[in-house]
Amino acid sequence: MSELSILQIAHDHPDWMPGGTEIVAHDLARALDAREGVASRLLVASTALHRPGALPGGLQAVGEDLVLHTGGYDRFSMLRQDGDAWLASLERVLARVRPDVVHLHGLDRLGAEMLPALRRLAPRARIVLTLHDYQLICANDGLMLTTTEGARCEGAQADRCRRCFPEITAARHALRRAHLHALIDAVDALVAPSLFLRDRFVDWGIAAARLHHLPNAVACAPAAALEAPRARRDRFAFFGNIASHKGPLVLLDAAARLRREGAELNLTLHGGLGFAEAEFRTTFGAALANAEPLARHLGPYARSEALQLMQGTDWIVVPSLWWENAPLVIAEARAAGRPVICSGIGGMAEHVRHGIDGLHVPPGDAAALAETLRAAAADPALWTRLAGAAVPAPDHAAFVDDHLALYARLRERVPA
Amino acid sequence: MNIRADLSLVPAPAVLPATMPRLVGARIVPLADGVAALIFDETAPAPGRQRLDALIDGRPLRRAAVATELDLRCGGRRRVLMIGTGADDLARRYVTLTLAGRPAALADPGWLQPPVVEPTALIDGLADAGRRRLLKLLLTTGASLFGPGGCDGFARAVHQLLDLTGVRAAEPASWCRLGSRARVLSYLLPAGTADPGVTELIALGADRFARIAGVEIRLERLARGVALHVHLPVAVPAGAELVGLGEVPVLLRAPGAEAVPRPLVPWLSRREASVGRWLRERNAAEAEGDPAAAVLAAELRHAATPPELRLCHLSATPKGVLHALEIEDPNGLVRALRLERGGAALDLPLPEAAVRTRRTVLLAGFAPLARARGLDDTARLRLVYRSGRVQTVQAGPLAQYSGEVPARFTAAPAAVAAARLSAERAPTGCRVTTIGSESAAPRLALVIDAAGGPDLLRARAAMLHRERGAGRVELVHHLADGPAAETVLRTLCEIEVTFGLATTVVTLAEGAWPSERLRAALGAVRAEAALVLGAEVLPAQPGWLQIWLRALVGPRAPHVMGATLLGPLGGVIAAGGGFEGLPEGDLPRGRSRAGSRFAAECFGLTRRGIDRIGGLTAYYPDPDILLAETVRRLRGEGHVVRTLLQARFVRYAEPRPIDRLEAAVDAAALEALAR
Repeated sequence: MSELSILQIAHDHPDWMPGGTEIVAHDLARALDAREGVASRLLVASTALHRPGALPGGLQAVGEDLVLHTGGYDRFSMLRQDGDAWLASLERVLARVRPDVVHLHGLDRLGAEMLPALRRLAPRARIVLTLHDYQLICANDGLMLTTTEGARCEGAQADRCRRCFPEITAARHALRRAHLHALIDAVDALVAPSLFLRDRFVDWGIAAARLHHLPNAVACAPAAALEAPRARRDRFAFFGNIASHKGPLVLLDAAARLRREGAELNLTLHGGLGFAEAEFRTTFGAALANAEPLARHLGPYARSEALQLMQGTDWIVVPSLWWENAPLVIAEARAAGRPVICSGIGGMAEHVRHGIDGLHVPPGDAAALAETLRAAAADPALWTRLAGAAVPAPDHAAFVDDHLALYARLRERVPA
Repeated sequence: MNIRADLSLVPAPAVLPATMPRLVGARIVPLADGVAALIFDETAPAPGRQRLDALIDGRPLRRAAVATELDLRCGGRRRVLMIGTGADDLARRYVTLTLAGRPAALADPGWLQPPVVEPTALIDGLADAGRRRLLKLLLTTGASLFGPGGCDGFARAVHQLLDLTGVRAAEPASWCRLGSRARVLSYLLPAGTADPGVTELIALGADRFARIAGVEIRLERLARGVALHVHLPVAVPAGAELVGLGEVPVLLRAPGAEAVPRPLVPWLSRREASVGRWLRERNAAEAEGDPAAAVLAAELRHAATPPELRLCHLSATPKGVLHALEIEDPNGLVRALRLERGGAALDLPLPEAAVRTRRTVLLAGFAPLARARGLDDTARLRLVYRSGRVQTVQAGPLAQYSGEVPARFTAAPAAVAAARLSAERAPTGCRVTTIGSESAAPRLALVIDAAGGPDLLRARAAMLHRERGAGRVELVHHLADGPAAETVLRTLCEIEVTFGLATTVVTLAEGAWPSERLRAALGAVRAEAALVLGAEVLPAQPGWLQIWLRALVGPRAPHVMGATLLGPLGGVIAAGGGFEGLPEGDLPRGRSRAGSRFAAECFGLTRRGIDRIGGLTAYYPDPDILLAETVRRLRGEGHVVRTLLQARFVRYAEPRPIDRLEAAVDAAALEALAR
């Protein structure tokens, strides 16, 4: 049996952008490559933020991985704006990897036209696209939040989208949708890490049969042995990029309220501000000052430290304002044996059962969140019950198996 | 002096006194057939008036005669008796001239030297006063007794004498009408000329000399001479000779028939104030009974606020001139606007109501003034006043009509349609370039207007790329040169390397009409059928290619097949032949309008259909009209033209506001084509 060659493509590398998508793609590529009879390479995009001076469309090898530089990119149309040198680079990659399967993790910064290019340059390869976010549906960075009020959006419609981008006509929004639909027709299988996301894409017009539900998993060591019981479970932590839609300001507002009340608990925020704009940095700094010393920002953390850091706390708080998809932090919390307090919406609500293995709070409601934190800190039995009821963390090996099975099914299909 | 023959007198006996004083010799001056003058000079004339008479062969004169005495330069007098008898006849007779009844001069036929002399003898030696008196006699009493119609050659004799007396002849410098009758004639005399003191004006006609009553004359000193302005209360025949009698006689020729009258207002504006006042007064007096003079009086009154012409649009086709000209004439002075092209002119009358109400008038239309061969294509715009004055207000080369619907043609859509249909389009050469490797045997061509921009080009390519059979589709993009062309070409190159979709690019000069681009692109099609797509038009759903291939490829395919065009948010924009088969929810409110229209933004053509559109002789900017005309003709020939209701298309553009004028122009064009 000949070796299965797989090219994983992601829009960033976890070494410089430790987001869920990057980690999932990277870990999947590594795990696949470790399997017998499978060869897997990771190709990631980079931008001037990470690799200033790189030539648009240029190709580099970084360790085992390949980096394709994006010189210009239009976030609205999701198309590259850096000429066609990238096609030659892609052709070189494909000639080298000779993939049977090309598995893309999002199209952001890669450019949606990578799909027809792959179809043309690797006509025999099967193409899989994991939908890690809503970029295809929503031009507002895929957040499905309105640009005006930050309200959650139920789905894309041209006239509704125009309200978010009044400078762009409804016709152009409709064209964006039609264009992206046509492009992703080149994909053989679409992977939805959450049912919530799958339903959003069905609403958007993708046939349900094309969407395969494969929940994310983390490739990490299992949870450490049970620790000694604590009288109070009053340590709360936030993990992830410090960005507005992730809800850190709501969390700090809740912490500030608790500080003023004299509540006995503490909150740590783990994560970097990344490329946050100055205005957000200022706002965040002020919110943090209000919440200190109850709350502390400990800054970025290494992936390898995540489980240990989580185990050093009692609760993981995921106060996101957007729908989320299948937040990796929830999977990691589960692996660390920590119950999650999260916004009761979207992908978070799907992965955390309220009152069973976690708690839901209304998104954006700092008072409710403060009340939940206070109650959780005061009720160690609750912690024990929730932590004990948690479903096991998804097994990464099974996750890899599921992908291999999907690839195999696709390869059995007669090409159109 | 007019002395009639006294027929009651008994003829005197032909007896001469025995002691006859020595008589001076009388001379006979021939003036005309049957007219002669008997003259003799007195060096020391007796004081007072003495009657001059004549005896012919001793008998008193029985014919009409007129006598006068003329001063001589040397101090004496010349006695002249002009009589209605020819010189030859008189020369055969014994003529005695008497003064106060006494013989004073004699002409004897028996003289060795005949008494008949040259006409110059009549004026030789005369003082200026004598010449003036003689001239007046000839033109007045003489003319009434012997003048034109009475005696042949009298007028000629008068002219001869005018020459001989050295009367200054002045040619007209200009003339103006002051109404239907009155005229002012102007003559330029040499600088330093004294006022001739003209008191009377005699018109020398062929059959009569006529004194013109009511003549007024003014002098105006100019840098280049002296202008003599003659106000005539009545018109005189073209080219008539007028003799001004006064201190210095002057011969004034009336303007010839070829002399065009000057417009009074501008002419008068160059005259000195006194002349201006004088003629205004004359005109005002005339205006009471002469409507033409009244019109002129109004023009004079409002000379400071002349009518204004605003050129809103002026362009030409070989067959005519498209114009929108606004005339502001608050005083109602203008009758028409004269549009001239080459040697032809057309008066565009101002509506009478507008003249009466003195409103601003817009003249918008298509004047059928064809371009003259071999001449520069220039135009002149002139205001034709009610007074008859014609004022040039604009002149210059004519711009070629470019096909647009200019402003101000709301009420004249047919004019724009006529211009469009007759517009001359320079042969629109096109560049045909190929990007990528063309399909060897394409079945269907997609003929695409590339003006939509990169996003639309890419999206359309993606929609073709996903279709089964895309490899046998020939892509033909058409565009006009211009700032966006480079971007389009770069995008098409990127599309080729991204999707592997080769394309033929047909590029026309900037300003080429959409219809010209479409025709040029159809001319490049190799496939047996074509699907034409507008710049913003994309297929609505997957699977469209096979449906259109089935519809257009095959022996029974209609020459032309319409398509259903939707808006970006749904709703039908155009559905060719009708709405049958379309979901009710998709139907637009104005379904009759949209439903009846074939949209050139999406339609199919077989090879015969391609040839039919290419063969249309009518040119028009909008491809919709070409398509509509083709459909009309095909249906007229009994062909079925229908609409494919499946595989619809979407126009990814905001709803276009309905341009009612453009629609009216198109409708007028279709009407014109159908005629």
